[in-house]
Amino acid sequence: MIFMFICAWAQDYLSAETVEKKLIEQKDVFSACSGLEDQLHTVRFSVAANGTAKRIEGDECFSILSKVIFPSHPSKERTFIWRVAIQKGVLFPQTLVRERGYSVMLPGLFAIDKLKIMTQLEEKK
Amino acid sequence: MLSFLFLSCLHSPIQPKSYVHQYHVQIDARFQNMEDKSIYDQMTLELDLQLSPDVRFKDDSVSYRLMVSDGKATKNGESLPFALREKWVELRAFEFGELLSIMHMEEWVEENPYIDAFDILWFVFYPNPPNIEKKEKRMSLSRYPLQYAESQKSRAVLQNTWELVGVDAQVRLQYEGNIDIRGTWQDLRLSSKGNQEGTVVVEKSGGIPSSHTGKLKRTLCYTKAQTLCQKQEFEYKMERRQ
Repeated sequence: MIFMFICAWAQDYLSAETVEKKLIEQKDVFSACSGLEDQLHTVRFSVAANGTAKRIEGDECFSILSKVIFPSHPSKERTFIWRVAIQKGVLFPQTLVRERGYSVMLPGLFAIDKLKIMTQLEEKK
Repeated sequence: MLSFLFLSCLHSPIQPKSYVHQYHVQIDARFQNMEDKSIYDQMTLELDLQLSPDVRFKDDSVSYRLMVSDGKATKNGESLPFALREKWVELRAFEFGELLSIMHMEEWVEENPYIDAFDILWFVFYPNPPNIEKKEKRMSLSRYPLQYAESQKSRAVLQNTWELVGVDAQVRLQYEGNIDIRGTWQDLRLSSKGNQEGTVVVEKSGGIPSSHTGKLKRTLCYTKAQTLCQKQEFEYKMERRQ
């Protein structure tokens, strides 16, 4: 029983698939964007650990993203890039990708300035 | 209610060994300073971890979620940012104690840029002692993949000679051997060699030790146009709390 409780409680990492599904499910929220010009629009937004979304770049009307309910997750924040086509006032979600932030350099090595070590490694003797 | 919880986990129940175990791990490390090689940075990582089984596969291996419930990290006595709480990895292993794969390692590094230097955590959990009789010595390998970044393809292999030193409700074993890491990160070659020794207390059927203490020393190198190395020393202790 304890096992089942823990399993139900543990949070999943927020994937692009999950975010895309939520955006499509709650597409009606974006009716405010139907007046946008017919073209492909790009929205960059973040989702905080508690599931709250915030527009970073893209048309102001997409600030309504904050009304979409995303699952809470164990990372501090995740950033996504959403491409949406608008045609005659209708919103057609296209692609959603996760923007990879930090990527570890020289894994296994403990150092403050790994960039400097990278430079040294690339220098010919 | 029960069926709802099973469905919410999207797996079938692990029978008959359903359990959640809590572990405490402390790793004291000394890392050679890359600017002044006569100096060592001292780091301590403490983790409270929770292991829960998830899915049993056809080959009888089981996937587990290993989640950090609490912990702290210090460098030269000062606290470092610690953003590992509620982060987890998915392990796939045989119940007798052989580790097969680790998923989501990169999630741990995201806000904790020192955690990739503590890969011996996977060995602490899965030292893979052999079936052994008293007074017998036997060799075994503990292997784990390293993928703290998408561009990393590396593997650690620890070859140890084991000796059974006590049998009670559990068995007590000692080991010594060497570590060999080989792989790549981007277009750089990663290699590491060293040695380790330790003591493990484990159920007679094997599995993750109920306690594990030991020491490991290694030299970790990256090579491109030239090679740069760092000496690393670890003292580790792990115990099952529940």
